[in-house]
Amino acid sequence: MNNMQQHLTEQLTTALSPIHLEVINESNNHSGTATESHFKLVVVSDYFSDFKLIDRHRFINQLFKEELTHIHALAMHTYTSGEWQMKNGAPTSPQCAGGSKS
Amino acid sequence: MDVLERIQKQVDSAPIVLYMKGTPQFPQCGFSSTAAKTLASTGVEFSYVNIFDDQEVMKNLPAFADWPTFPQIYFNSELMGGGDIIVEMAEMGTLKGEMESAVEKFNA
Repeated sequence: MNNMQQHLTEQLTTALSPIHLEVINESNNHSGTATESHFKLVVVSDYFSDFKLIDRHRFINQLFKEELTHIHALAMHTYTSGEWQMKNGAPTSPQCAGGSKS
Repeated sequence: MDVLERIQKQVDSAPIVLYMKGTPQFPQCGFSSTAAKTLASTGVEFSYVNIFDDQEVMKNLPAFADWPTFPQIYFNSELMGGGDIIVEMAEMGTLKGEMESAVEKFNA
């Protein structure tokens, strides 16, 4: 596990006590030389029960405010334990087409 | 006009506005491409802004909505979220209905 992946994992574990957590480094799927640029999160936590989707994402964006200045893409899939049981995993992230962030 | 006013005008100008990298025909980012395709799959019409056409909008949009990434999708001037949220809504089967009610509200 690389540093950023480990860092994201630790932060999410502390903040949300997830029942299920995946922090996937998808940087290899993308253009450019950065090796820690694209991540996908799958977070299952009952802390999300009272939050709309946008507020769950806002929470994680806020948690990783500083990190997001380095990371190019952070795909997020957030579920409560009930929602997670009804699903069979999170959707695949798209291939990057090479457009730069700024 | 100041850039934040310009963005406000853009999100107010149509019921559904997608801010994306590139255009639905020629998307320049996988996440923007997925968002455009997912919205299009409902058959409900939507507007889009190519953020590469306006550097000022691209720079200021994250602060406008307090949302750090692109794409961004607005229904009735309100941020619904980024691409993952639109895909999630499509999977839950609520996207088309919410887009239709946004259009209805806009035209009312």
